[in-house]
Amino acid sequence: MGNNEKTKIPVEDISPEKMETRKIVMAQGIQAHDNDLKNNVTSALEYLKEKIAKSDPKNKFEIEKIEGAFDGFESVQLVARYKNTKQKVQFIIITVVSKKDFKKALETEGIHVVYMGHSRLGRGACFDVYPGTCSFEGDQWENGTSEDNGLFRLGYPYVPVKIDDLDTHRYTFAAIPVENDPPPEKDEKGTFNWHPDIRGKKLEKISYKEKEYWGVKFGNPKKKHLILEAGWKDTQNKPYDLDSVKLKCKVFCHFGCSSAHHFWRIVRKEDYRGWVRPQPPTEKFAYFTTKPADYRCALNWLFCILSYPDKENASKSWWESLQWAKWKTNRMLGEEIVY
Amino acid sequence: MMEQAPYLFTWNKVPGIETPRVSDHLRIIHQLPWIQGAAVRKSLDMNSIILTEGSHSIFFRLDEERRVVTLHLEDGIIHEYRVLKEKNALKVYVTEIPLILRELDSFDLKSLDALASSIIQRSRKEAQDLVNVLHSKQEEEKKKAALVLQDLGDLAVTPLLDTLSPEIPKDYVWDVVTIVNLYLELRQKILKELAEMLTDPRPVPVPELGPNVEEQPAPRRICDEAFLLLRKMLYLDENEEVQFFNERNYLNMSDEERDAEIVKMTETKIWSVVKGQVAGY
Repeated sequence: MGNNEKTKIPVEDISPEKMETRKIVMAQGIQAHDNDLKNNVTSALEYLKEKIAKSDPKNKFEIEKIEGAFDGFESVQLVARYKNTKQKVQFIIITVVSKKDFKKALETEGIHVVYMGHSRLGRGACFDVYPGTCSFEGDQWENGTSEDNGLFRLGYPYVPVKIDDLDTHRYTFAAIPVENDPPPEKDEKGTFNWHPDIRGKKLEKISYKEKEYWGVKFGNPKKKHLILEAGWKDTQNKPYDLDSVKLKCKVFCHFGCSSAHHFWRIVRKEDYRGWVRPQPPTEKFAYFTTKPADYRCALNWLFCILSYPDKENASKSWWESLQWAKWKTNRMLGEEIVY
Repeated sequence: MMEQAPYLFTWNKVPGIETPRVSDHLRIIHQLPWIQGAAVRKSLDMNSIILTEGSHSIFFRLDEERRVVTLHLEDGIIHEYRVLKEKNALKVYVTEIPLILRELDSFDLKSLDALASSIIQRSRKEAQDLVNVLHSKQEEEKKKAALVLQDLGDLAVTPLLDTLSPEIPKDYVWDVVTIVNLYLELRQKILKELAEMLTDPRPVPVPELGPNVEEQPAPRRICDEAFLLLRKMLYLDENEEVQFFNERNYLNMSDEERDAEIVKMTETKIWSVVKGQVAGY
């Protein structure tokens, strides 16, 4: 576990001031590992450390091994601790990279899960475990080859995927041959099966690698897309789909491209998974992005979570600090002009 | 003076113990690399601090009233600093906003928030004074305060909103009517600008994203941005999800298809109302 073995402090003992401990799992998807960010940042946690040093020089953000912080995670990369003495909250953050650990994080009671990586054009969160940088080709870009890699599915049942993606990553895909009926836009209850980008459009026959599939041309400029079987329930990746997990985490953030468009309704609405935040808001918090997003989205979110300026945030609902972080992160991303 | 103005140096400690503070400020904030080895001296009248290195020379000048220090750079640019007398020492503070911003890091949220609060406080102070008069029993002054407040435009809105007093119906209604009128005036100005933008097809630069981003931002023109913003302003029955869905659909269209959508919007009833409202359009 971890790269830094210098300290071994049980997590229960590191908070003599009786601070509330909040645990955060940052799940780094395929192409969003620390090594993949190298030209921009040393590591995700180093980025946070550097920014916290500027905003709160009195409280150190320490990257170290904290034994007992999180049991049972197998792909931990780094662990960090930051005590915000004003909030009276101690944050412990780990970075993990496997699909199995992402699922475990979602099923862990009371924690904050942040996914940083691709949305796979509306299919979910996608993982791989590798040293160095990732391989561009293979099934780790779709269904995966083990519990460590491939998609954790979160999307609509039918998603348009541009042919460029199939050509780039050369994975086994489940498109619908024209010999079959085109997939229905809605199910028998009237719930949309189709991803929002193709609703109301007419499917057409598109040739790809000497076969014809149902697809659609759209975008600016217009590009050929095949309709792939995707989904969030009873998928090809079961148990790595949203329906198969007992969501026990307190916060789930998916900060891949346009994740609000791809997954918000699936996660939140009763027609789909129906993970609804109660009133008053005390749990089941979820946050997404509305535009193409890079690493700064997840990292600035975490920076804002750690930097919440109100005093005495301990033992309170997380709602106020999460909403503040949403507001502030959007402002910071606006400043960096990330669409 | 702004509450959050950063301290620079104490006049009688330069040259001396605070010379490095001044050197760092000049080197980093004013980008004067030569300052590192500069000689620092006071003028005979003790009201100037002169920094020289080879052919370079700049100076700080304390004004006669000892309230302002000016920095005179070689290119003729002059920067102003404020002086506060604290325990017989003249302390110099940075007060020019561009210089303060250069001192701050974009992740130093505490200082940035404090700067914003300080600017808000200063910019609204006099409007707040007017609102206080408006809510007082000074009948003659109240009338004049009301006239000035209406001329202040958007600057008056928040001070009025923050001090509404429902106890006196006449004053309460006057305040709210004024707030709404000022808001509508501002709205009209915005609509007028957006209407102009709607005819501007120049492309907006696509933002640069970090590595490995799967979805690239759709190309946008100024008229596309105007169209999307107008929808937000005019179609109040569209919630955030609908707005987002429409925006994505719109941006997935070709320029010709987008142009057709713009034309379609300008043929709606709501647009003819907007045209009528926007003065001079």
